[in-house]
Amino acid sequence: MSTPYRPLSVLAAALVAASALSGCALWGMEGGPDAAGASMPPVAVTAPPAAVAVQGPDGVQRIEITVDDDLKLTPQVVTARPGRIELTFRNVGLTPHDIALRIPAATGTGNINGSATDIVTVEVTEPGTYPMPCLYHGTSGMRGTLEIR
Amino acid sequence: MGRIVDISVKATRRALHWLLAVVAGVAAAVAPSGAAWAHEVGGVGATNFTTTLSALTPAVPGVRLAVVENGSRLELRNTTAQEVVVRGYSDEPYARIGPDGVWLNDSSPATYLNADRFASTTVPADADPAAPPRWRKVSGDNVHRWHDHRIHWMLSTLPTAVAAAPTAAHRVSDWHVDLDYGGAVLSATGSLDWVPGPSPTPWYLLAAVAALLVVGAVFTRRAHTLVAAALVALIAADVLHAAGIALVTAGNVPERLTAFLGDGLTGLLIWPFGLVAAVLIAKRATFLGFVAMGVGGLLSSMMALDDAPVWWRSSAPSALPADLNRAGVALVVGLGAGLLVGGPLLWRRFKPQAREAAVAEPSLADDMRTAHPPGGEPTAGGTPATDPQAGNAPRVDPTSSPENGSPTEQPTSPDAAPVVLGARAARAAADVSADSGEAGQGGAVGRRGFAGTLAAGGIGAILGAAGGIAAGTPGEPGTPAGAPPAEPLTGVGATRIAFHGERQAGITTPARPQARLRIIAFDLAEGVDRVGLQSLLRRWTQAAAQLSQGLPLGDSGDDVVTGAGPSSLTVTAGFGPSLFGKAGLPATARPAELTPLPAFPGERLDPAHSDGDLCLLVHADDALVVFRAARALTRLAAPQARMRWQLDGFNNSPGVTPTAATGRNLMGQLDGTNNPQPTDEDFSTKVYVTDPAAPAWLRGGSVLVVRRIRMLLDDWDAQPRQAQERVIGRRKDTGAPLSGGQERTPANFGTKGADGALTIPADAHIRLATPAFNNGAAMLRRGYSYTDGDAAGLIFLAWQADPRRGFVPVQQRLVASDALNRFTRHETSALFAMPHGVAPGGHLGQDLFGEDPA
Repeated sequence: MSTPYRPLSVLAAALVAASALSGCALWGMEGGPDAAGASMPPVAVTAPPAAVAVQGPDGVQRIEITVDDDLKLTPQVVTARPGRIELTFRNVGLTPHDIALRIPAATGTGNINGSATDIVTVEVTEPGTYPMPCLYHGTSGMRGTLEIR
Repeated sequence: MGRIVDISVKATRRALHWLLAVVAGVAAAVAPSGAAWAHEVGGVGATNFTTTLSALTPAVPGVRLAVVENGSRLELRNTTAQEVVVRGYSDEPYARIGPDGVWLNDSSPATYLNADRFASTTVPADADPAAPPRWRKVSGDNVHRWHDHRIHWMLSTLPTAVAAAPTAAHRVSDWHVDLDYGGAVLSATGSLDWVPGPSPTPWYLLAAVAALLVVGAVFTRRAHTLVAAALVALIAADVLHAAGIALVTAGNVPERLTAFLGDGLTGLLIWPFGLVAAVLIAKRATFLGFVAMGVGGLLSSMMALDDAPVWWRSSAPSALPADLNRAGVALVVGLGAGLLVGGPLLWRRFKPQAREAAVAEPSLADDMRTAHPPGGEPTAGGTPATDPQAGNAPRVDPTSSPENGSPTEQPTSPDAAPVVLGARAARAAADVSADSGEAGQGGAVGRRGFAGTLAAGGIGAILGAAGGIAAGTPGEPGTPAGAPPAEPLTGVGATRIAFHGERQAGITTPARPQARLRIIAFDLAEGVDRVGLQSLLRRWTQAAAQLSQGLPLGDSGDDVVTGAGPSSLTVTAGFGPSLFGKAGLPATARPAELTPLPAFPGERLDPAHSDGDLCLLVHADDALVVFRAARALTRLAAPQARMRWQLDGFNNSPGVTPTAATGRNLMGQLDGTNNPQPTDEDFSTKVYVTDPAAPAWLRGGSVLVVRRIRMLLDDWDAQPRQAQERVIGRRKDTGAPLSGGQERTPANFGTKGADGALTIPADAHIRLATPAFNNGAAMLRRGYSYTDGDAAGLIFLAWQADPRRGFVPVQQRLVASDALNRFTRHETSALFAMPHGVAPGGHLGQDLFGEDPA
């Protein structure tokens, strides 16, 4: 009431506040100058522990691996002994994935939609390190590893 | 009384100000989210991620692949008569583009995934890449654009390496996409990089200067003209920016116009509105300062929210040069912000009330000012600018006041307080007409003409840009420079050997060994690590792929072969035993097949010209083509490796002898008659490593023994022909074994002549070397002749799965008693394991590093 400048001041203040508040999310994943406020990947735990596939009474080694919208496999490294291995891939996100296994014959899950699960059974005789990349997201670094010891 | 009236009018106006401010604020706040306008193409705005297409090999005229929309999509244009099939993520056919339009395979998951930039979709259960294709026509064009997720970053967080150092450049990944074209595979390879952007400071300054200039302009004599000009400039900059985006938007004319005008045709509404306002402001419609405020605030805030990142990111979806695009954004933000403030200030300075008050009661203004310092028209708020009551105050702008305060101006009755915006606007327009009539005599024509020209220019810019968008073809790769040679190459020069494949070329392909060879052995430089070695192999792979397809490398050596065809060029790379233990490769990783050769009695090896960590074999049917490729690859080896030794060899040129003929060596014999033949059942297992126990990188590869064997030709040529034939065990002319028959007739080592002696003597070369007497040891010999000064001889090249069941036992037998030993001297020796072939996108020896080839 006191001054006609007020609307302008309020508007300006609102704009300033809006930019300040939205700051980090405002310009998306890559953030502001020098990536200030960018979306950073989760802090890398020093060398994610390898999970060991558990051998059942039938001699088959089993493990469940989750795949998610962060384009991660958890666990990222699975270790097992030579033999029959049953890998259960559970997609806990919404984005489809397709995990390939090269042992060295190519096999894999095929498409796994969001919230879907796929089981792959492989027979590995040779010790070695076998990659498990996602065929859709390999370029974005989505790959796990199967280590046969 | 005058006071009472004045106060009530003021209260009404104050309410109006509020209303306007709220409307403008709401518009500015809501519009950007409502209209995701003019800042992204294909779901991607300005970004530091850069997708590069390095090569599509082999190149086919009429098939053009391009990265469009700032890496969001790939575009394939096929103007040939034959269709191109794009492979999906499991190598299944995904799309087919050809003369009968674009078809998508509904059985391919890619059909669903590639519709969305982030593949946020659900793939139907019946989409099985292994199922037969179910083709569905999606367009009659010969161009298809799709979100290929192999080429861009899919995650909503930065790559870990980038997050650690966002201001440094990073290679995020390499990618490849395969196309099928009439039985041939066209391989597109490229990379995804993080390229940090520039400093945004210059653009902050430009925006700030633009804003200050607009605000400052309000207090000049030409306030109306300059504010109108700023509004036109704002719209022109916005049009330019939108045009830059529309030009890279892939699609047909309506799609591009939509990109140009914005969702909901925002541009179509705002730009003409702003331009009309600019024309009227130039004609002194002071009230329209609020329109300038609204348009400025709207465009400025939208631009700042959506497009400011172009200032600090390295690429943006725009056809404009990056800095022009950045300048355009800075001008929109700056001018818009200036108008947001300047528009209302223009009103405050020139509003009719001030004029009328000044006109009617010049003294009243002063009076009121004195009477109501805080509540009246205060200078509070910190704006030094304008006490509007002082609109005629000489200190602000003496020259403008008399003009504005001119008694002849349309008087505005304070009693006729505006009720609705429409009525107010109508009167403002009436103001204008009266004003223009008056100003016509006042010599303001020039200024108005200037503003009008600007406005007309702005409209012209919009129309011109729209026309350009309609006519332009976005994202088209430039036509490669260099016209095809007038006379098409045929035969020898034009022959091309595929580089990619399960096995490296140059071992058993082409079937007839090329006429020329250079073999180069390299030593790794001190301190080269795995990364360095891998980088070297990557460079070699890329260059070899290009050279073998007859593509230029872009270095000065290209001209050595300008006008020449690839001439069956092959490049074959291998690893020596000494590589293991260097570059972070454990010595224990050396495969058994690569066990160093034992010393053989009688050999006189020159260590400086033997062995090596790495080797390249460059074959072609032309000496210049070989030289050019070998030299380029040698130069590329630096700094990780340097040449240790090299050898040049030659054979008959193509066309000189029948294609299937066995080559001759400098002793005059056919050399290689008893080679394993490709038709043999076990040919592959003899030549290529198939042992499952061999490391993955070697399976599908082959082991090469290189021996430079000097021929003592003076001694040899002193022998009569029959003596020479007995040394070998074959006739020199036909190559038939001395036991009789043709060249390929199996030798009968038991045949005896009339004198009772063996027809093929006990020390004859073929008897000692034959697999039958060496536990089946076999190798594929593809030797070359060499001369070196007055010395001459054989570059003995033997390919085998394992020298311990190939060269080694045979040579041990030969050195003991071969009649040929008197005429030859082994001077250099080397052993290399050639890894298996390269898939497109991969590099030679990639799985030597335990890396996933995906």
